[in-house]
Amino acid sequence: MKILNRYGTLLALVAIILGFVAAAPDSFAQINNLVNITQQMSLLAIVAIGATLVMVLGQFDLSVSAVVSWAGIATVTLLQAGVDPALALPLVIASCLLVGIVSGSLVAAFRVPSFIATLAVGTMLGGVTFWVSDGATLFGGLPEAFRNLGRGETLGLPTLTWWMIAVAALVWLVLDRIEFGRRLYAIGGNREAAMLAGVPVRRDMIGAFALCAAFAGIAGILLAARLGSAHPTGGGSYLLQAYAAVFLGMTAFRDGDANVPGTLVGTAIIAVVANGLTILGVPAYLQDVLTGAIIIAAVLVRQTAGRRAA
Amino acid sequence: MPDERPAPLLDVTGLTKRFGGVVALDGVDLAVRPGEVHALVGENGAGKSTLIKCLSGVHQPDGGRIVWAGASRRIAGPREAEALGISFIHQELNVVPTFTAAEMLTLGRRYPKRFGLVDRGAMLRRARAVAADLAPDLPLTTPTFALTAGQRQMVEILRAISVEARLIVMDEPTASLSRGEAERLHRTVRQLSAQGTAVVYVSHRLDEVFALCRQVTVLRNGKSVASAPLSSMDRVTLVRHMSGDVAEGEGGIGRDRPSAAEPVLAVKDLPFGRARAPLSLTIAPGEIVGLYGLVGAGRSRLLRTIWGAEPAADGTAIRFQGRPLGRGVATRVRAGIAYVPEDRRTQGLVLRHSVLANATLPHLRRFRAMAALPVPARRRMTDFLQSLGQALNLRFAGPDAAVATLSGGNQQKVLVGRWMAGQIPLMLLDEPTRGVDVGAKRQLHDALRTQAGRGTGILMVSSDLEEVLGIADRVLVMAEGRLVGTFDPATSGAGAILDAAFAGQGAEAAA
Repeated sequence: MKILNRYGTLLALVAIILGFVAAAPDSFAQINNLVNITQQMSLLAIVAIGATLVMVLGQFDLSVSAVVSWAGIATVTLLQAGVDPALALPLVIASCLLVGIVSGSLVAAFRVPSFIATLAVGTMLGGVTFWVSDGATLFGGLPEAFRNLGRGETLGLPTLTWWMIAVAALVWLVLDRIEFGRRLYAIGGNREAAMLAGVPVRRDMIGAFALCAAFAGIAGILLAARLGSAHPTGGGSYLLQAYAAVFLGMTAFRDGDANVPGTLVGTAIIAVVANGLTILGVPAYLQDVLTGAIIIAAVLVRQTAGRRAA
Repeated sequence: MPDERPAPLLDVTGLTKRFGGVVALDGVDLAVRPGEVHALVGENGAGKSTLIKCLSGVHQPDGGRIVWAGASRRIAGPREAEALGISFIHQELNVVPTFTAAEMLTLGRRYPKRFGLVDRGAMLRRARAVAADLAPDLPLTTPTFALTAGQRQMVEILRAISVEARLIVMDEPTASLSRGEAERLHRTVRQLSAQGTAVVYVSHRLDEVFALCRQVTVLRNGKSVASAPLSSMDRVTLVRHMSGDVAEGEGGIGRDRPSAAEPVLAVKDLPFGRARAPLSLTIAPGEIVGLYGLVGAGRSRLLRTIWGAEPAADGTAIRFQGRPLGRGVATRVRAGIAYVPEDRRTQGLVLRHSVLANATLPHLRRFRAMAALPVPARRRMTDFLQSLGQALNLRFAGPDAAVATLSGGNQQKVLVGRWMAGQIPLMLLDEPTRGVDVGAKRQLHDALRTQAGRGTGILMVSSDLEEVLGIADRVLVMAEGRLVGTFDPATSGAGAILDAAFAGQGAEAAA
């Protein structure tokens, strides 16, 4: 029971993969396709891992898709204006950090519910993005060096896959091995107890929101590099999927807490289902129905298993 | 002598209730006759609230009988209690913040209707009629969150008397009322009594008890130790019944009395409490100071203020080793001060998380493998947990077991022990042994004595007089946000301390 509880989500991923392998041995089960899945899931994974930092606090950041879109538009605008990427990219990430600091301050210092604060901040940022881009897709005029950040292969794996691995390793270290991460879990577990134990609750919460926005910004930059263009709502699909991944991951590994390995498994489930169903020729709208059903199933399994264990 | 009084309306006999291993009620008798105003008094934790919750059906008693109007009853829940004709004014204010007083008076009862829809006009008229006598100036159409604490309490009172009740149980109804409001409530209680309604009146204010009530039942340690007409009892006897025969203090025995060295903590003229009255106290190194008082006296708030969790009205008034402490909890943690909050479940522990995570949270930096990197080394953390386990006889399945699986006593040991990673000049403890078994309590006391022997100054809030007398070198008594007395446990008994706590309670009301 305990094993099912802890590794049930991982077993579900394995079962789903085996199912597709059996259903489409010639197409899905090809090594190229599996490698391709890691590339397809990479940007979603980066956004979801960022969102994990905030979910650890028991809070939501609903502005992540707006930040992804903003980062894309801001990057392309700067690069088209001839700004050196070595200056442009840090500038864009800094702007995303700032957005996170604003959200985090609203939540931590002024006790605005994170749902509302980040919805409002995301809406404002969406407006700014439209204003900067004039509502149009921006493309062309991007340096090759920049484009290469998001395409091609490095050391035998897609470059984007490496980005995902790097971000996952970094955030896993932060959450699992660093004092900051332990404090975040404590705040999420019992904010009052953390405060009374001397945890700098406000500062840490603001830090988590800032990092979450920064990773969404990195995803937006990589998305622009991959596509060679940016659209003012380019990050739109990431919000729900990222949280779906985080929720799936909360049912794995660490009892009831958001965590990086769990989020990765959650993202992989979403990506594998999308990839496999596409190969089987299932229409996209059915894929959404199925993804939703998987999330409900995962949570239900855990709830009932948890009750029996208790 | 034959008893000529009418038969009791409520007759409770031999009621018992335990929570896990803790006995909350241990054979309580309570007989209330129609039209009688019956005082129910006792120290904190004597069992008054548990008794009331058994009457309202919130708790089911484990033994004994509740006889209501001549028939033995099992009260399944609050609705059933109300149907029987018992209504309650609870100490916690049970109001929906966004509802108006008029809405609160109708909630859970039959709404007046017109054409199948709720008739708000009739609702308001009904509320106005109920409030006319007792609280003519209570705003009925304002959401309750915008009312004062006293006004909210009044809503609760109106709710209780707005139904046809034969018995009304009032749990500290005047605790947050102004003097005028309290007087109006007393008048209403007398009116109800004259109409034949019985009232069980719980209060910490003894002057109120003597002025209002005819009969009194005293609870101590879950037992009813006295029941008599108040006319036959004076204040001193009543207090003695409440405190019992607690052994005289032995606080300093077995240790050297602390020297008159520079105090480790000195609070001087800190504006505190509702009245912002200046408060001063000092703790010497190696001294254990007990802080006694009734619920709501402000003891926890004082500790939180010293701990930096609540802003002090004057930041320079709190001095640690001669220097002002500044703002925020982090400064206290860095100074090596320890703090154990009142409620271990909501304020102390992260219940879902492991023993290890909880034991290392306040001093994570101390477990770094390399001083420059904020990376705690698991090895050093488990070593600490092990040493803590030995020092406090802590029992747990393993470092990664959820702290929620530990017994209350062991949870409390985690909360006390987690500060013991280095030198602790000062400990602030809020009810450190509440709800723990006798063995764990003794072990915690031993640990505190050892700690004091090493020079730690300890300020300990406790509602357990026996504990305070047994361990403290000095007892401060707090009431209504002021320190109203200092006692030496070696020469003062429980009665004097309890009397000071109750007397201080009345002082504010009379002022």
